[in-house]
Amino acid sequence: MIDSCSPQMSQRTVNLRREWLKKSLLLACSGMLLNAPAQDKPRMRVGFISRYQPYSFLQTDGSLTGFDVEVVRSLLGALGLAMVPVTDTLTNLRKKLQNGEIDFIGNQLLVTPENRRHFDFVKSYATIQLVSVLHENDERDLMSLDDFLGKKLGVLANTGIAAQARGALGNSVQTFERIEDAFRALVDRKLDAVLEENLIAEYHIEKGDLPLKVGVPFAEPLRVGMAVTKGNKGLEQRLSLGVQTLVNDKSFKAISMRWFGYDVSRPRVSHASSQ
Amino acid sequence: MICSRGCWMSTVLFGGLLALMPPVLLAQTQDVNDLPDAILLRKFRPPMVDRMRFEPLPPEQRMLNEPKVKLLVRKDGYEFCSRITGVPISPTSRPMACAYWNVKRKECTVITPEVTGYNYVGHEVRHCFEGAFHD
Repeated sequence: MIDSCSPQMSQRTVNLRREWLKKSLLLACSGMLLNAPAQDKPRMRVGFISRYQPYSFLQTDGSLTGFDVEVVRSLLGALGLAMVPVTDTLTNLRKKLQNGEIDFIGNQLLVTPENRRHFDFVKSYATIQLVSVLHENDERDLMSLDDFLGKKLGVLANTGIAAQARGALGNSVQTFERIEDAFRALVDRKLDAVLEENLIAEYHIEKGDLPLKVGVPFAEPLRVGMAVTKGNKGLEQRLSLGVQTLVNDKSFKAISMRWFGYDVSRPRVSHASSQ
Repeated sequence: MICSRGCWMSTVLFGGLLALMPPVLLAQTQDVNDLPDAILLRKFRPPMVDRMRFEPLPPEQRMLNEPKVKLLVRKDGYEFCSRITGVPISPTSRPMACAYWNVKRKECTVITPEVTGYNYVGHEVRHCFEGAFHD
């Protein structure tokens, strides 16, 4: 009896075991999704410029760091994604994005008409603006390029700012290959001011504990954003929504404080409108 | 009416106490409403945001709680504000005043044209404490 029943029972047992195993596997898988370690999360290949302080740069030990790197890691983490950083020059990153070798560029690029032809842009998470940098004790109101006539102004070489300043002020504009050297000359009072982006200036002032201050804005805030492939509206909107949530989160403020000493997502200029 | 030199002299001769005032104070008797900037000011009504009551943010929620505020009056006030904010100057609208601030140094600078209104200065001072509170 037992023997005669045995094959039948065995088949039932196998079926039950299969069912049990299937359920167990499903449960295990759902548990894995909820508590998935970083290596099991869906991955995003994110391009970063390899030498772009303070936004993204390689440290002496070869590891990648920077404000943009930390922000994007935090952003993707909140979206349940893992970041796979890819470092290169901006020119190569553009090519890699167009070839599909990366999913987006994690640095905030300028929203120029030329860039808009190739990319769509994610909502910005930092206010970036061209500003004057002065010695911390300098109380002069140097508000425009005209105010620098007869004074010494330092700028980064081979940039649009350098060309514009030279055009207005001639040879009293000194150009520097490294912005750190311009700040050093300003500390030594060999210059009256330096023109540079506010966040780059804030970073060097903070990092070097320099007796300098960010002064007057010289232009309107720059329109910038992370770049995704033209037409990839789904990713652009997903990242933009993520940025909108992230900038109100404590984790973003902590990153911002660590790199610049204040919350850089907020604007630093305002206006009263007419009606 | 812009007071010409002749007008200023008659004020000095017949103005009683005015005659004892230094010329700087007398110059202030000139009606600012007749200055070129005032014509622009009259042309534009304060926006709704400047005509409403508001509750200042509690100190712990402010961007700057005790800022050092500087008021800079400039001949090119409209142009300067347009340049740093990106708000264009047109026949129908323009930035009437602006401000910029340095959170780390707790400093804020308000810029106005040579003639301005209480609402515009007040609006910018609120920015100095609260940062962005509109658009």
